[in-house]
Amino acid sequence: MRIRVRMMGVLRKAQGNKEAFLDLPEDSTVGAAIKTIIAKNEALIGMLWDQEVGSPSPNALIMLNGVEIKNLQGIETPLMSGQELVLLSVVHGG
Amino acid sequence: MSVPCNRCKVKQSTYYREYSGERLCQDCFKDTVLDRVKRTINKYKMFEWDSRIAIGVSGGKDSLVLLHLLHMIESVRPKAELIAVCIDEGVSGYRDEALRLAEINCRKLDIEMHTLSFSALFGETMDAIAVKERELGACSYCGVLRRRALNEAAKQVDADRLATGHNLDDMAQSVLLNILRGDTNRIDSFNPGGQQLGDYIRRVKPLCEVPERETTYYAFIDDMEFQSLPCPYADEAMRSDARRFLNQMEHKRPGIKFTVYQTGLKIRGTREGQVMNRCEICGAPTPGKICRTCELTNS
Repeated sequence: MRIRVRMMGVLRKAQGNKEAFLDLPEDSTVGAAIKTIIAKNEALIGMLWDQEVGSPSPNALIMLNGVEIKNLQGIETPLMSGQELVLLSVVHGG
Repeated sequence: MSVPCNRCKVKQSTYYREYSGERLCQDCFKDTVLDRVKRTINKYKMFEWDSRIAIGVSGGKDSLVLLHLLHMIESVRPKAELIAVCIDEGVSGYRDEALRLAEINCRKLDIEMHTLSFSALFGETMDAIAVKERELGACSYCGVLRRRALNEAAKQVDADRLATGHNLDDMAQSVLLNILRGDTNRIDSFNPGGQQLGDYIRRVKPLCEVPERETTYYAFIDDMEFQSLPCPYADEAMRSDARRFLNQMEHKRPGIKFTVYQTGLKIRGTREGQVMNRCEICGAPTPGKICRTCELTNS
């Protein structure tokens, strides 16, 4: 399946582009997509994933088709081809 | 598939508030943030019906959300006035982008924007200060000087209030940091409603009860453009530690940031008000003899 990934805020700078398409195996979840994104760009690890807690960083807001993933099934939320995943850093620095 | 909004029961929910258990659609989410900010303003009697309010706009999502919310809230008070005050610290690249975003939003809302630079006020840019040999981290200088600059900018536009975009996370971090540093003076002055001190304009924090995740989500659903550059001097390790700790606690125990914030207010309520002196150099209110701005600029 193919999903669209849009980075916003400081994540966009770290990623180097505003949006990209991500090819994933069928039956993938949001968590699998995030891990794939991190594997491609280590600079995003600290911004997207809290390794101590083993879940997305509280500094990251993650939306699937505009719905925050905590309002779905969190990182276990299943993905469907054509969906848009938005990753947004809460931290900006005033 | 998400469940229906708990509030309107019509639209699909898009946001889950862990600390309250609410699932809200985008419209109800925005309404509840607006209601909370209105309640905060009323609770602390932040504004008069005819206040001239300077809004500290950095171009970050918190100050832009504040700008939009105050524009909505104050539009029903024809005598109230809003003016955006922006500080150009002189951080190449970073602040240029932020000022551009501030300008776009001010133009959209038809709010006048006034900019004051560190170089005009202190004779130096933050870039110049950062390369000097110094005792403290760059953030410590920037924070103190920016606070002074915001006050000066607000005075320049004849404002009687200065509203800043500090959110619940900022407030909870400050409570924790002041305890960790043993800074009882600052705990005494922990007051989101601010107070008038001499010719220091009353500083108010209308977003003090809105978590940072919510100001971010608000900015996202309102389609605001986000700052993409991190501040190159963002190195205040102790605040980052406090932020990380509070975020992990919030993850395990939703609502803990509100508890820490409320604790700050309770501690302050049990202590006598701080006696303020006048800085011997510039006359600004200070608990000691010399204010922090003069300490830093003279060192």
